[in-house]
Amino acid sequence: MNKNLPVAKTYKLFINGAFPRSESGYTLPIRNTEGQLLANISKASRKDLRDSVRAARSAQEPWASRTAYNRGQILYRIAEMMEARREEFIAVLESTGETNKEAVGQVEDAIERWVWYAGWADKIHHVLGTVNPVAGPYFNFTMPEPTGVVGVVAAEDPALLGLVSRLAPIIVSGNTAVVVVDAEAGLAAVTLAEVLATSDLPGGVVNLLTGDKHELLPWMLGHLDINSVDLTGAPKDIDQKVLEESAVNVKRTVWGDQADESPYVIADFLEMKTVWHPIGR
Amino acid sequence: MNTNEPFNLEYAPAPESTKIVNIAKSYDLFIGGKFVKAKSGKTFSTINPATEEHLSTIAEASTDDVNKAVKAARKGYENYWRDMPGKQRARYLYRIARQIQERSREFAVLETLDGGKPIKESRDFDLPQVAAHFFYNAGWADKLDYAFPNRKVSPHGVVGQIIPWNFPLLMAAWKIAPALATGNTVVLKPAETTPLTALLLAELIQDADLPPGVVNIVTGAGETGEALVNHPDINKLAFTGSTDVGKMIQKAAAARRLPLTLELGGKAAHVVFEDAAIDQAVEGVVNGIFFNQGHVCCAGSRLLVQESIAEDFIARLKRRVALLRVGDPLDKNTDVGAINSDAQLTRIQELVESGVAEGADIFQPDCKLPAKGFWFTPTLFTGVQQSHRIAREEIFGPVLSIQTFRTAEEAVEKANNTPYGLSAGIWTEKGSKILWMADRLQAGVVWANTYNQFDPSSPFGGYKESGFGREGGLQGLSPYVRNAVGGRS
Amino acid sequence: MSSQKDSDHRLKVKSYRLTLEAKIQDGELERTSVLSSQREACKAMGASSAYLQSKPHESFRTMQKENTVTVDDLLYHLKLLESTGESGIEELKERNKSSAGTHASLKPDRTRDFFLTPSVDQVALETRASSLATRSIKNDTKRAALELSIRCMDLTTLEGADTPEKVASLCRKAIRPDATDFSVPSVAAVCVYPEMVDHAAEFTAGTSVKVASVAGAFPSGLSNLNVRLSDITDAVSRGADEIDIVLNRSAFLTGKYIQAADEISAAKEACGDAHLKVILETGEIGGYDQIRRASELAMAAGADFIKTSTGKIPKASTLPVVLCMAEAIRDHADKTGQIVGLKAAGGIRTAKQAWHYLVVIGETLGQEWLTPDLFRIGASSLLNDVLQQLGKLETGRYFGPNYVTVD
Repeated sequence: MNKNLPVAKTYKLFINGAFPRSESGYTLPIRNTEGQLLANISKASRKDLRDSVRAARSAQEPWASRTAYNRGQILYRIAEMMEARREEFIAVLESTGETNKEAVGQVEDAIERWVWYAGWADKIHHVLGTVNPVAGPYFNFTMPEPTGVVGVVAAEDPALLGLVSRLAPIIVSGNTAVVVVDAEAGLAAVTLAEVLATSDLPGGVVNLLTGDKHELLPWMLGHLDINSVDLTGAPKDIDQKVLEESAVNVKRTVWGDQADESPYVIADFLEMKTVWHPIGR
Repeated sequence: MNTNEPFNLEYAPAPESTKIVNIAKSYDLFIGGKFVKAKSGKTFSTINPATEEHLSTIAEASTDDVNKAVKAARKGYENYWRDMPGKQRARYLYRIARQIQERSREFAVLETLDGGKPIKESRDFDLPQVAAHFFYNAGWADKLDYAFPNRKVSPHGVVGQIIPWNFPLLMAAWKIAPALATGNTVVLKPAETTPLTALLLAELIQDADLPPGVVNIVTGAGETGEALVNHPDINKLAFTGSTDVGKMIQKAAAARRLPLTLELGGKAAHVVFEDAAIDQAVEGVVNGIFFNQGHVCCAGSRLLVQESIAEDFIARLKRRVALLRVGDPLDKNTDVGAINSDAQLTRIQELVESGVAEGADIFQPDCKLPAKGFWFTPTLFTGVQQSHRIAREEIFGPVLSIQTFRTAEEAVEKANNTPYGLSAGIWTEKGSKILWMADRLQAGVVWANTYNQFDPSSPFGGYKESGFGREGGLQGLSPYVRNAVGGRS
Repeated sequence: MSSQKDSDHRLKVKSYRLTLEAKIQDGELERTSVLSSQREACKAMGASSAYLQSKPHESFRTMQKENTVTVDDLLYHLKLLESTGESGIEELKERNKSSAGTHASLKPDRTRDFFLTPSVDQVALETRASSLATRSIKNDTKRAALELSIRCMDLTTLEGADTPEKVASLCRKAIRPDATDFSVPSVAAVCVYPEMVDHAAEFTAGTSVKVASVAGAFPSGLSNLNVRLSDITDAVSRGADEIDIVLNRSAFLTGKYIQAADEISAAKEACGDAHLKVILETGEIGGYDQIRRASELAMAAGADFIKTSTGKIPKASTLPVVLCMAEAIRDHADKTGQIVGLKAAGGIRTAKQAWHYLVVIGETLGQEWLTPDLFRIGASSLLNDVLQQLGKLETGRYFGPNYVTVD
């Protein structure tokens, strides 16, 4: 037993590499299974979403301009930092109801997922890019590029693995992300954000908002500066009208599966750019 | 004869004969391998935009007819196409490709009659590309395991496809060929102003003995399209057309999580640097905007020319534009044909008037336009500002807005400053600058030192509001299979 | 002249002088540019086109009649008027002789760096050429085009085995291509070796058919410059109206552009009144970048015509090559006002090919170029194909080669 009263962590939002409270001032209490208060987690507002998109947009080009090798190393670094804090992750997951076995399994898998996607950073072009044999004197190739800013609605079950499984393939190619997580599953997510903040990942590449998905999703789907949305963890009862909002700027919408571990998940968040040049002298 | 008298290079009319085509008085819907009357009995007329003459009466498909077509496509899918070995599907597609080549001139003349594009283009561009698309995709039908390694793919089922009037038969080929190669069956709706070549293709498909219901063609306008989009038994939608309609379709598909491919509008920047091969750049810019009367979603409608050469370049451009031969699309010497429809002509006129009203300088060469039909003189605008409507909105006509830039950074900034992102052009003789630009331009297709090149093996499609999904190439197959690339819809 | 009038006059002159100087300053005009007509001179200084008709400008008008005058000469003339109120022909001539402006059109501009000529994109150029080749021709236009291709033809024989008899029959064919139809026009010229020039001159005397001679160590151009120049003067003295020489490819390909240009200028001088055609031998100098560069070089050096090929190597004239050269000619005319002709030679055997060349010239340079003065096709077997096509138009039947004479 600690001699002193334990110092509890304040769980805040993660925007542009910093940990601000919600501009709204709202928080939500998170309690363990016994009803003990674990944290008053920040409840993100639409303005926090707006600020996150701004941060994600300005971080996107520099992030995509990093070499693929460098992005791969940073993803691997995230795995390293998770490994270093595995006990903390296990404890967080246990505190919100997972058994030790489940928690350990999830943390192991999440670390493995970062390592696996880290390796794709400089290989995805081989697999998805092409040189096209056009019928004329032209050199023609197609290369994948990141879509841009991706809104991510992560699945809460499993809380940590569900998030990592979507986030890793999204950012590995040079996208930046604005993630909305239900406050109830927010502890693992905020802990992950603390890992991201100490993994050489540039500020703004991942922005994480804990809050109410029903409240934030309409703003995310209607935002004109978000290029793509991952709706894998969208609430089952999401309003049709909200989904229709994605058409305002022809957003790419992805309904994935948090169990997927595949280069094709990376492909869901890519654009294919085709370049032509004559062959002459 | 006075030997010093210059020769008058006035080409005598050289019209392509229309004897090769036989247009029926009326056309029915193509459903389940047969031509069937529309239930409603409603029809519409398709005309030759170059003469305004009535060509044929076309059945208009109602919701009932669309239901019938989808049902036929479902049957075609379940009874024949889904379980047919890829090798056999390939055979059918190869056969269609060959028959298109054999009847290519007939299709070309019909395309020109119905749509107004110059015979030079329908003959030398559209038709060869149509055949090539069927050939290319035929070869994929039995090789899909190699297209998507480690991912067992399957067709979606019945695909609804809606295509525009600018490349009527070519768009049909872009849609039908990959859908069939991957094992889907289709219900295709051609544009209401240009249904004839799709209906001739239906006849050809009959001749090719394609199993009934694999390809169904329903003619009609917006309502027919709406019925197709909202049909509950469609497994995938593919649309090429305007961004406005595309957004409506995306809305309709969003709630149903219907897999969707959109190939929408554009406002492409065509960037010419001072170190470009100038005369070829002029040709490229002319081809970029006046190809197919500018009815091209990827048209290079915004010229960004480096200020240091702007005056010289624009002078060259004007001289070249004055040489364009506008007129009878059937004449083999015609460079710019008729505007596709009265409605489109009105839209072009309205935007051009806005350009003048907003203060841009208009240049139009002397150009005798035929009295009948829909025509628009090739037009250049100089002094265009980024805020002008003609710099922002898709005109879809032979109108080029010219702006200048000082540095490569400024060119990129202006080029990307649009919600569209379909295509872009770069002209410079400096290789590293091409790659620098190509990297930064937000566009699905980047043409460097060329423009408006297409090939079945080369993916085409947009960034941002120009749509998503690709057509052509390996990347063009994935929208037509399930589980190919995760879950993007 | 009253003093008021005089000062008005001087003021006017001054304003024109300033206009001219401003244009030079802005690079719109070059001092060495030739002013070939009064109108052009008026335009250069921003005056109405009849301005130079008045008396004070008599000296300038005389100059222009007798000499090649440049922008610089005009400027000098205006300065004389401005300062002294008078401009004399002697002074103008003196200036013209001593200044760099003497035959400015004939001297290469030594400040020009021919490395800096524009790039040409091969694929786009060839695409444009082949699209022009789809131009279709019918009926009356076809007849006119066939006749034009005859009128622009340099009927050529350049064989070691050429004899006076061979040249005689060539000349006969040149004068009257169709022995049965007098309405078929004569060709522009016969093209022969220098030794055959006397014969050709004799056989074509009194007709419109000109005599062109290759000269200057044709087809390689690789002999001593003096030898080459005396070859030219020899051919001219034998009666050649036109001289076809080759570009010194050896100098060109080693980057000695000024040397190559100087040699052309010297050849031009040696030609005297004869027209100079400079053969670039486009199949031997690299790609279109080099063809463009060689075209500019030859024109700056004073060529009256630039010509594609000698016909002595397998790679002869092609449509994109001619398009590339035509673009250079057009830009040269825009920049300097000098009008240079173009000759396509080698490998042109069919009427259809000839038609394609007419289209390329017409759509690139304009119809003004479609005369024998500015466009030539060098060929030996083309004429008979054109005659057969004319026969087809005349009779409605497809012709056979034995229905036209071989020479």
